[in-house]
Amino acid sequence: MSPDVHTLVGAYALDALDEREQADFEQHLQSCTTCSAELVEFQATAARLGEAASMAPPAGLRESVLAAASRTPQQRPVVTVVPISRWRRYGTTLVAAAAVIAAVSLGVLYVGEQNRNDELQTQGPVSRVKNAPDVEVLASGPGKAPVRVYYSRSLDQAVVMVDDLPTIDKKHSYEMWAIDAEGPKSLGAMPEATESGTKLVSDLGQATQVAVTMEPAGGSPTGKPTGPPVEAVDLT
Amino acid sequence: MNAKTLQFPGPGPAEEPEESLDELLSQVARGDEEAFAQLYDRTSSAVYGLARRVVRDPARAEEVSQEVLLQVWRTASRFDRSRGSAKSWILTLTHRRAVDAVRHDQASTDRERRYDWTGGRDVDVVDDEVTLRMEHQQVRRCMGTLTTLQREAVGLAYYGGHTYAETATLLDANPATIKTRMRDGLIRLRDCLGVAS
Repeated sequence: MSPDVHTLVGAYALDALDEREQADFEQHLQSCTTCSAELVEFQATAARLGEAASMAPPAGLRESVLAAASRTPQQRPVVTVVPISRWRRYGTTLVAAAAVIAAVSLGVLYVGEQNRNDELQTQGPVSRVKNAPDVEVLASGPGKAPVRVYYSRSLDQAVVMVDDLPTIDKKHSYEMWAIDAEGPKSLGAMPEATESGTKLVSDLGQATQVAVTMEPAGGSPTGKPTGPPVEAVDLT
Repeated sequence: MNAKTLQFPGPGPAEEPEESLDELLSQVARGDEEAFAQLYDRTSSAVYGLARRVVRDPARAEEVSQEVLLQVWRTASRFDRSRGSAKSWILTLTHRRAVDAVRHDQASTDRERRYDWTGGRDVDVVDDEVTLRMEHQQVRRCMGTLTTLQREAVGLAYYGGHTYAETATLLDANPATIKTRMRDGLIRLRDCLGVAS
């Protein structure tokens, strides 16, 4: 265990790591019993800080939480099997492409990861989505696809992971788009000359597709894609 | 303490007996809605108060609280007592969710401003009240035993929802130092609060 990783226990217990460090630390945590023991104590300590901020909730909350619970099924560890869409390239507009792909997507079986009992207590937002029992894993192609979307309906969150897109220079950035009936909405541009990254997305809404375009450094100046998608993941 | 604790009628003792909250949670895991209502009554102030402290906006805090409490309902079967108490689990979930919410909201704002992906937050606003407004006497006292840097680092991260890198910027300190202060600050707090494994 590197002493540097160990110092992250404190920041992790305070949810003060960025997504990448959090994922790295969680990886480390699986093999570090000292860290897990310390983490349990730190989380209990942090919980005391949380309790110190107690405040009576609005009166309506009780009823709405209990009503929601009574119509919400409880989770059991399951293996999910979901369709994955065939990778496609588009030359025309994203909106038109999104409409076309919905009609021609090809199902491929994908087996989601099985839950482990202790995960919820130690995992961060990215792993929580990736390990959610209802996670759907959608990729821009078979095998080692450059763009993957992990979507959990129950958490209403998705993780977009981009890995090894074609190399670009400092004058360009890759930008992600969520495409719905109204057209593309930016999910943000990656830093210039960067081909890999991870992002937690909580507002996919009614999007039917996530696409990647190459844009000038820092992202499209117009707020809309300036070229055809390099990769696209169909969400339907 | 040798004297037996007297049981008074009425609102009951201030400190929740953790054992019974753990027990309630196992009942919730078996789909017991009545147990869930009791669990709500025992934990909703802590959940809402923490969410409110981190996200600030009352409506957003209510939303976060609802999500967390439903998450507790849905995933109660995944609670593992060997990894801490039920209350600790619920507050850990609450803090995660609240921090996700502020970071997500900030990221959306950043996106609109066209700088994003790594999503830096607005660091111009220093939260200077985080260490001052604590209701709980013992927590306040124990926070007082930390060094100034430890206290500020823990407070900005926990109550302000800042990453350690952001905290370092706010405190004009080295990120590696801040990481260390968060850990040794928590060690000192843990010992002062008597949190045992």
